[in-house]
Amino acid sequence: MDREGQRIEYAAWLRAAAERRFGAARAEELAQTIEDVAGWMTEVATFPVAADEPPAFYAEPSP
Amino acid sequence: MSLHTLDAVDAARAIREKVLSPVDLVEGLLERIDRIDGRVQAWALVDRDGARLAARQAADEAARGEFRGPLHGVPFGAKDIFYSAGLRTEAGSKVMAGFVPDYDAAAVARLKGAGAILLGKLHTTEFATSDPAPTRNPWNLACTPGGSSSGSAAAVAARMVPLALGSQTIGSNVRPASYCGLVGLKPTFGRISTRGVMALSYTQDHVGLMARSVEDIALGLSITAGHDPEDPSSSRAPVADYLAALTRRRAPRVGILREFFERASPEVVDVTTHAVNRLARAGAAVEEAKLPPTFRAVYAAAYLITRSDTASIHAERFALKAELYRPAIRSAIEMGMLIPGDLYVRALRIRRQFRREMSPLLDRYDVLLTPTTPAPAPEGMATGDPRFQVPWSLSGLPSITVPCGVTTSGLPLGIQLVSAAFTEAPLLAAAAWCEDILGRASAPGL
Repeated sequence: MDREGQRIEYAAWLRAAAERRFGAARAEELAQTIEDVAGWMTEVATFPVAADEPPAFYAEPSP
Repeated sequence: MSLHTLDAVDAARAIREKVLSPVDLVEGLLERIDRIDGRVQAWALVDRDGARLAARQAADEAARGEFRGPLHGVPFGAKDIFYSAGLRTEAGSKVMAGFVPDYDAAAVARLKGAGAILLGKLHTTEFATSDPAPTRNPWNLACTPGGSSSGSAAAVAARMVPLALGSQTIGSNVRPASYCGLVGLKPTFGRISTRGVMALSYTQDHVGLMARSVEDIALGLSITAGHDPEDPSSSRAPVADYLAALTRRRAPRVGILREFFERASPEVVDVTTHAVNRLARAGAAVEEAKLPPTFRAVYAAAYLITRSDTASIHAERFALKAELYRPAIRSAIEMGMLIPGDLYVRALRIRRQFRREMSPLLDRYDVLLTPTTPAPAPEGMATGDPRFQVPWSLSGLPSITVPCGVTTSGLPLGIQLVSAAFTEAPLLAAAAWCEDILGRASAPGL
């Protein structure tokens, strides 16, 4: 799937999830925010991350 | 002498030399607040009684030759997300109305332990997000001071207090400092304890400092930095002598991050380029530096992480009081509830990858340089664009803004310097060198 297809799919998924959780009226109010978040999700999902890269939580190496 | 114009280091020295009483200093600042805060609206709460009592105690101790520490008798302010024992801490939110903590945030406690006097609490956007505070920019009351540390920036710029605590999760300390013509530091993630600071993100919350000089920032950091066993994000990295580092200031190796200039307004580019040229003429080794590939993903990663964290942090309160939250943080929490866990973890992996990719670049230069903001403080209530702070909030790398000029309309601009993790000492030395070359911002005309 290309990036735009991925973004559209995320946006649809978020809209459905927002309707279930907050109701249709609130999901409609969140329409622009849903589009923003779908864009960020697409960027994070498609950006290449090294397979052995762990997440960074608290502990970071000292100098 | 106008006492409200004294910087923290100068005030501390005058008190130690017994040419200034903490009582007179506190009274001078309270008079200043009475005169101008009706227009600026920086303070959520001024603790007149508490500050006067602490000032009398500090004066008595000084008379006996007893000094609690390097800020003995010097007032400071704290953003209203920092717990302050016995004082209302409401985070700019109806959700927290009337909340009075029974202990001080670690940074507040450390400053008090060094003899500093908490003058009061400073307005913040709601829970340090983007629903605005009432505060106005002292340089132009029609403009925002930035946020979320709105009151911290405005109060220091307007000479109502010499030093303030702010915080930064996205762009909330360095940006308002720049909008108000100040020096503002966001140290390395984990350098200053966040215990007792209302959280927004587990991996991007930083305590920040604002002052009118690099020397005051160095003094503030020397007091607030250090490991806190009660804060799981607190680092054990050794704390340097930040004031001594300023005596080693020299022309730095500067890597210019052109990508930021391409996203700035023409006037910001002109003023910043002029400042860079002055630094180069004074001896700085200036060359262009190229950001690593992961830079492209840092914004998306930062926003997904903060929304997910914010949703988790506010889950219980939001379930009970959703209607009391203002629109921006309400939608941030709601969207954070929906972000899938696998993407949250992937964003944290991007965070680490970006930090790793930045290492060789940071080894080549003493500092990386960008304009601090894409544009000067905008008019209205919206708190401005945090884009130029996001990569350093995500990665946890230290960054500082130093004033570098003003726009044709008289609003201050800054340069942002970034360095490797836990290199605050050379970062401050470089910032002080730049401050020497570029000069300090003048006072706003209030």
